[in-house]
Amino acid sequence: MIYDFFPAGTYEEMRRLKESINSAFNSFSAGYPFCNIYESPEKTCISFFAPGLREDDIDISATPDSLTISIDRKKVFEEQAMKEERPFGTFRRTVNFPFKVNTEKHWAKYKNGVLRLIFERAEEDKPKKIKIN
Amino acid sequence: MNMKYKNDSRTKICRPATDVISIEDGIKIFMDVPGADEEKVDVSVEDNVLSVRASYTESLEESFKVLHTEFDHCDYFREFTLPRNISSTKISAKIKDGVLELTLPFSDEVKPRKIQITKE
Repeated sequence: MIYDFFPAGTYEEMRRLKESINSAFNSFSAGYPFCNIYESPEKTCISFFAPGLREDDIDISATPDSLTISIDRKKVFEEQAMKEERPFGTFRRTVNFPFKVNTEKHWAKYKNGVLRLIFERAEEDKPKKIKIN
Repeated sequence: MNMKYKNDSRTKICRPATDVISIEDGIKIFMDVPGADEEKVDVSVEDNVLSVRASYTESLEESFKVLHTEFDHCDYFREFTLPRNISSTKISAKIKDGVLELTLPFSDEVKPRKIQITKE
């Protein structure tokens, strides 16, 4: 088959290259900062990957359905860069919660460049047991 | 493609975004490694190649299930061939809020030196 044309290991390299290209394009479409969303029956956790910020640079607002963060990432150097890949400027991102949350019951922490927010599920959104009469 | 770094596990290898700045007495490198702290970063120089390895694992309560992911658990890896005028023994590194800052000073031989003129 086609694998026979390539020396051993080359196909694996090509597969990894394809994966990295696909992953790069996925990242472009996702927006900045990247985020992960997790859920449990009672809570939801959202992590944003935004290194190099101070707490003053982050603005967070939430409704029962969605969360919006605005960040202002400032350059830490004035010199002309020989290579510049890191994003700077103002970024805004809105993500939907997996369920309605209680915006009063939340937890937020920024550590090692990762902003993590946990919200409790709203009481009215929790599944209710229905008794059969 | 870099073959020096062998990733035996199934963890993804990420190429961290990097800025390289020329300063008066050397070079500064800023690298985004969100989630990594000083214990999870390894900087080394071998054969004039500067290698940076770091890792990140998101630790959450067991009850959380992944719903959407854009930034997976990963090993950061990047390497740079150093210019000859960099003093590899004097490279320093610090990390804050997920940004690794490396300072690569020029070696003393290439720094401008004032030559004293002696009177005969």
